Amino acid sequence: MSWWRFFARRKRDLHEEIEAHLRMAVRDRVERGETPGEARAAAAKEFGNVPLVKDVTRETWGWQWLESGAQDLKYALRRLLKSPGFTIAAIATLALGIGANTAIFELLDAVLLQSLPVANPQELAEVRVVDMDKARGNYSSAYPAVTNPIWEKLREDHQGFSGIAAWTDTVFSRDSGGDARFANGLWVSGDFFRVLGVRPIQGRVFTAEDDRRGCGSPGAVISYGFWQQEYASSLFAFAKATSGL
Amino acid sequence: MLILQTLQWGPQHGYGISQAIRVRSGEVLQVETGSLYPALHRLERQAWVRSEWKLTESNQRAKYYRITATGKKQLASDHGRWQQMVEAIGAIMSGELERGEP
Repeated sequence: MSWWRFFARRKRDLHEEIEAHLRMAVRDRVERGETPGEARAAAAKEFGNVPLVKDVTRETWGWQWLESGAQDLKYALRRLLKSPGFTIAAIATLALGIGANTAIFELLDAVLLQSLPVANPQELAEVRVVDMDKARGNYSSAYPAVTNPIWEKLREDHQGFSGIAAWTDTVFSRDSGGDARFANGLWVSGDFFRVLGVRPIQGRVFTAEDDRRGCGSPGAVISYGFWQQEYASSLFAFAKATSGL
Repeated sequence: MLILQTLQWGPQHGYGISQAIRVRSGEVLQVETGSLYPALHRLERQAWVRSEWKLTESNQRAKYYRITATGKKQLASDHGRWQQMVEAIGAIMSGELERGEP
């Protein structure tokens, strides 16, 4: 580290400067007839407190804070090494605290902060019925369910949105021959995927054309995660999946 | 100001400066080393003096300080201010004496 060498050199410089001062003072006194011993003592007395003079001179260099900071750090480390039990407890506490915070933040980040995996999540809005007098449907749950005529009216006659889609949650029986299981799913309106801007990796998603009575298309769209988990990422699975539902 | 004035007479080391001030002031002023060295290093930081290691007449290594052009300018302005101060204080003190007389 060059700055460290620079630091050390300036300190040595100051030391030599003061040494030279004392040597010259002693020499002058000896020339005036004092004995070397007397001269040395008198010169030292005249000079005063050498370490103190060095300290106040170094203060003018403006990095005294760095030096005392380094001293404090060294002292702290020495004390920590002297009581390893305390040190381990302190480090473990810090590690646990930081770890717990990180874990909670990761959870929050995944649940709340990460945006939805759709094209323009900032443009999404939820439509709710304001005038409850004329509202028909189920309004007791978190997401109100409107009747189909109301939905069809909304679909045909909405202003201010580029698209509108409806959904309701349900549970499908995923019967793959022998072991029937439930799978969480959604009933969605035909335009659902277009409105959200979600495109399929394989096959196709529903479109508005599918959204008619007796469309005769018993298909399903499954998520990537569901595909991996339930069908082991097999392409063959698509045929089976659609017939199974 | 005294240090800069001492260096006007030529480059000098710390010991030389303290001796010069003592001798020139007729042994009245004695610069403490605890003030002299911080002051020299501060002057160097402000670029009013420059330092270099040289040999003394008695062949000893010593750090010599030399006044710079900005240092000379600073000395002139300090000297002017000092003169003003002396005159102002002098005027006040002589006024005191005149009024003090019966």
